[in-house]
Amino acid sequence: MSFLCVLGLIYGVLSAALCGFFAVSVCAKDLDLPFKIIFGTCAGFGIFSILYFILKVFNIENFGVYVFCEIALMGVLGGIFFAKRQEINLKTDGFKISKPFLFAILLGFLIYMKYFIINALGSWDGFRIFGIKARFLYEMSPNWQRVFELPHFMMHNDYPFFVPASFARLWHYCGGAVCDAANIFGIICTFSAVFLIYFALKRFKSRKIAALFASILALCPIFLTNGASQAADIPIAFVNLCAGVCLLLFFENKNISYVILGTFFAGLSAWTKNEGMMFLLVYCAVFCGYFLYKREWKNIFILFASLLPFTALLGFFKHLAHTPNDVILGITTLKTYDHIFEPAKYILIVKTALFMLFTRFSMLFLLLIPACAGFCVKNEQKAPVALLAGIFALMCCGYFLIYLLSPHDLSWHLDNSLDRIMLQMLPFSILLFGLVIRENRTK
Amino acid sequence: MNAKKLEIITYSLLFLFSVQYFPLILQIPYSFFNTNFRHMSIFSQKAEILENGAGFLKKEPEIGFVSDVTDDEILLKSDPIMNFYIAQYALVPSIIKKGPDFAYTVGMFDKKPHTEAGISIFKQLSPNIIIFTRSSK
Repeated sequence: MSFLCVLGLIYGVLSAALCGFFAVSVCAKDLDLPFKIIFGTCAGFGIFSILYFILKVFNIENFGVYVFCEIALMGVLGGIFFAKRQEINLKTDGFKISKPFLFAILLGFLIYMKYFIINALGSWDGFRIFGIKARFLYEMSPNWQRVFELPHFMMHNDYPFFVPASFARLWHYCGGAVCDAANIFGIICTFSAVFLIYFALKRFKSRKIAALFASILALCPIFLTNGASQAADIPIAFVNLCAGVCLLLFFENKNISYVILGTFFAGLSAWTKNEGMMFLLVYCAVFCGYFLYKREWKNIFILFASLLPFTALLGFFKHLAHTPNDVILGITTLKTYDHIFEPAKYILIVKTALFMLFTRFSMLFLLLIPACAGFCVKNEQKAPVALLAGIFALMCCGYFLIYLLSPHDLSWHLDNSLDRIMLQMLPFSILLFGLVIRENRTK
Repeated sequence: MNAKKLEIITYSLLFLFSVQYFPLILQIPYSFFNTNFRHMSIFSQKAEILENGAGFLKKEPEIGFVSDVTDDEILLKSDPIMNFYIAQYALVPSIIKKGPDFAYTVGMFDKKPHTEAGISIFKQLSPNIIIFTRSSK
C-alpha cells in the first residue's frame, strides 16, 4: 500500500466516524462519550453507504461529487453540533479498562490479524458475495447496475449494500480495490462490538462483569474468524447490538431519541443483510407492543416515523434488485410450507445447532462460570431485559422458521450457514446474559 | 463460591484456551514484512492472472465459462463454482455465464484443460486458464 493509499483510507474512516459522531450527538445529546464514538462510527458508515447508493442510482460517475456531498452533509451536521454544543454531553467517567480486558483485546486483535493474513481477500462468502458486489459498485459507470444480473443463486442479488458500499467507498479513497480497506471495516465492526459490550455492561451492570464478558467475546475464535472474513455477519451482529443498547438507554433515560436511534440501527441491520429485515420487524414489533401496552401513542407515532425512511430505502432497493428472496420464493412457488409437517427437519435443525454450540461456540461455555454466582435483574431493568429477551426469542424462532422453510437441501444449508446465523445474535445474547447475572453474592 | 473467585477461574480458562494461538501470533511479523500475503490466496492468484491477461474482456457484456465438468453441472459442484466466482470477480462488470455460447469464453480447469465444440483457443493465460473464442464457421 502506498502512503497516499493509507492516507485515503484514514480519511475515509475518520470522515465516516466524525459524521456519525455529529449525527448521534445531535440526536442523543445526553449520551456518554464512549457510546457516542461507537454509535457514531457505525452510524457514519451506514449514512455514507446509503448516500453512496443514492448517488449511484443517479449514475453520478465522478467520485468528486460524492466527496462534495459527504463534506456538505458533515458540514451541516457539524454546524448543528457546534451550535448546540452547550447542551451536548461530552463527558465520560473515564476510558480506564482493566488489565485482563486490555490483554484480551490485544490478543484478540493479533488473532484477528492472523486470520486476515491467512485469507486477505476474505472468506469464501465474503469474497463471493460482498467482494464481487463491491467491485460492481466501484465501477464509475451505469454498468454497476449489472450487479443485479448475477446468474447464480449463491450470489444473493437481493442482499442490500451496507457492506459492499462501505468497501467500495473506502476503495475510492484508497485509489484502488485493496483488501486492507475491507479489513479495516472488519476490525472496526468486530472490536466496536467488543467495546460496546464493555461500555454497556459497565453502565448497566458492573465494571467487572463488563470486562469479563467483553474479554470472552474478544477471544471467541469464531467471532474473530468471521470478523476477518469480510462478510456481513459481524457488521450485522454489531448493528443489532447497537439497537439493543439503544433500547436499554431508552428505558434508563426515558428519552425518545433512543427509540429513533435504535430504529436507525435496526434499519441499518436490514440494510446489511436479509436477516436484518427480520430484526427490524421484530425490534419495531416488540417496541410497538410495549408502547401499546403502556398506551404511549405518541411514541408509537415516532417509532413508525423513524421506520419510514428505511422502509422507503429498502422498498426502492428491492424494486431495483428485482430478485426474489430464495426463502420467500420457496414458500410461494415450491410450497415449502409443507416442511412444517416434517419432524425430521425439526430434529436436524436442533441437532445441528447443538453440534455447532458444542464445537464452534464452545468458548461461550465460559459464560456459565460467572453464572454460578446466580442470576439477578435490577428492578429498573426488568422491562428492558424482558423486551431484549423477547427480541432474542423471536429472532431465534425466525431463524428456525427460515431453515424449516428453506428451499435448499437442509443439511447443506445448515452446515454452510448456521454458525454465521448464530453469530449474528451472539453479542446481543452476551449483553442479555450479562444483564441477568448476579454481580456479587451478598446477603 | 464468590464472584471474585469465579472471575479469576473464567479469566484463567479464557487465557489458557487462547494459548493455542501463540505459535500463529508469533508468525505475524514474518508474514507481514516478508511475504506477499495479500496475493497469496488461491482466489487472488487466479484472479490476478485473469485481470492481467484478459482485462480486455471487461468490455464484453457477457462472457461464457467452461470448466472440467459438464455444462449443466458448472453451477452445482463446489470446485467449478469457486473458479466461476473467481472469473466473475476478476472480470467485473462483465457477467459470467455458463457455457461456451458467447463471443469469448473463459476456461478454468483444475484437471486437464480441453476445448469444447464450436470454440477455439484465443489466448492461454496459464496451463489451466484459457480464453476461448468462437470458431469461425
